[in-house]
Amino acid sequence: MGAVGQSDAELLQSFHSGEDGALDVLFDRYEAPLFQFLVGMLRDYHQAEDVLQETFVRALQRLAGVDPGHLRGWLFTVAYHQAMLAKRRQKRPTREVNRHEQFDPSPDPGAQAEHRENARRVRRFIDQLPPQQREVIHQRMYEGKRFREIAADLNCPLNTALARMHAGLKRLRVLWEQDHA
Amino acid sequence: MLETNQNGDGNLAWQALLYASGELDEERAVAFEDRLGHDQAAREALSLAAQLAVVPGVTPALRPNPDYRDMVRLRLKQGESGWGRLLGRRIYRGHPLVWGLAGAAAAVLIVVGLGQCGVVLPFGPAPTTIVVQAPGSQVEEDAEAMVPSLEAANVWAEISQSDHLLKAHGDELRRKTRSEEWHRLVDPDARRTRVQPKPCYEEMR
Repeated sequence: MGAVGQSDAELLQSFHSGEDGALDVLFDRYEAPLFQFLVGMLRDYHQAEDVLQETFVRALQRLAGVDPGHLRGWLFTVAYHQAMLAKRRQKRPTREVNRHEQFDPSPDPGAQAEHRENARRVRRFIDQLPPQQREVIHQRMYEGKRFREIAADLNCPLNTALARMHAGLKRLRVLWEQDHA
Repeated sequence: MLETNQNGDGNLAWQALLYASGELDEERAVAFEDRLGHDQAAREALSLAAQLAVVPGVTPALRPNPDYRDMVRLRLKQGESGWGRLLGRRIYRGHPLVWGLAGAAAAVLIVVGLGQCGVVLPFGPAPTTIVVQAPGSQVEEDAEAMVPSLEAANVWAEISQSDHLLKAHGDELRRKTRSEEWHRLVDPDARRTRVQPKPCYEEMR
């Protein structure tokens, strides 16, 4: 059985016995949900990367007394405390992540063309969504409105607007993955 | 309590979505953060909310730079040693340790700089004593410094006592004496008349 199929307890045992590959499997398994959680808390990609590093180091250094079967919960607990520390250190107010600025604005014509093509495909997928979901996603993504503003604009409860957004994004992701498959 | 909120914000997924987008008011944001401290379901909801906010193909995937893995490995190998932890981690600029080290470095620079300028500090090594001489001895030293060197004096003496200068001086005296005698012979009133003496070469003819 490869390391990928091993349980957390087995991976931790391998890690303690000096198997470097075990650590990679743990990274693959937990870095995405932890990083998403940290971006959600900190709204800053670079800070989230710093805290992610700190989380893995501290969590793996203090495994004594931790039930290996609850490694996921332990990692999230450490991530939470590190994120709160980072937020306290951060004197300036958190800014909302502008994910569009994360794209490399390089003048590489190939990359720009690919980005334009992706944007076109996403618009095509959005057009396939139910009208109510489409409207919420459009107002949020292309007009940059806050959820409360969207709800007010569509004359619906906030929860309804959030539910439409949630469902619409999930559907969008499925369409994207089907297209790429 | 959040699930039963009368404003309709109670659902965990919606709370997470609003929190991730920074649209919860201060009070509710603090309450949600408190919940994140102990509720794994809330953490998972926040993770999912952040993931959902990423539109594939339009916004980048939420993936960290893989370089962090090497840093984690390095720091784990360095273990708990103080220097290893200090060197391996990124240090926040606002950390008190950073300011402490910067202040200590600045203090050392100032002390060294003042020491170079000769400023006597109230601490540290004993200052160098500067002895001021009395004016008399200073004048003597200056006078000694003003005396020409022995080499220049020798050159002057050699020029002054050279034979050709002595010979020229003697020749000049003899020429004057002969000239006066000749004028007395030619003109007995020469004492009253100023006669231009003839050049020496005419006299020699």
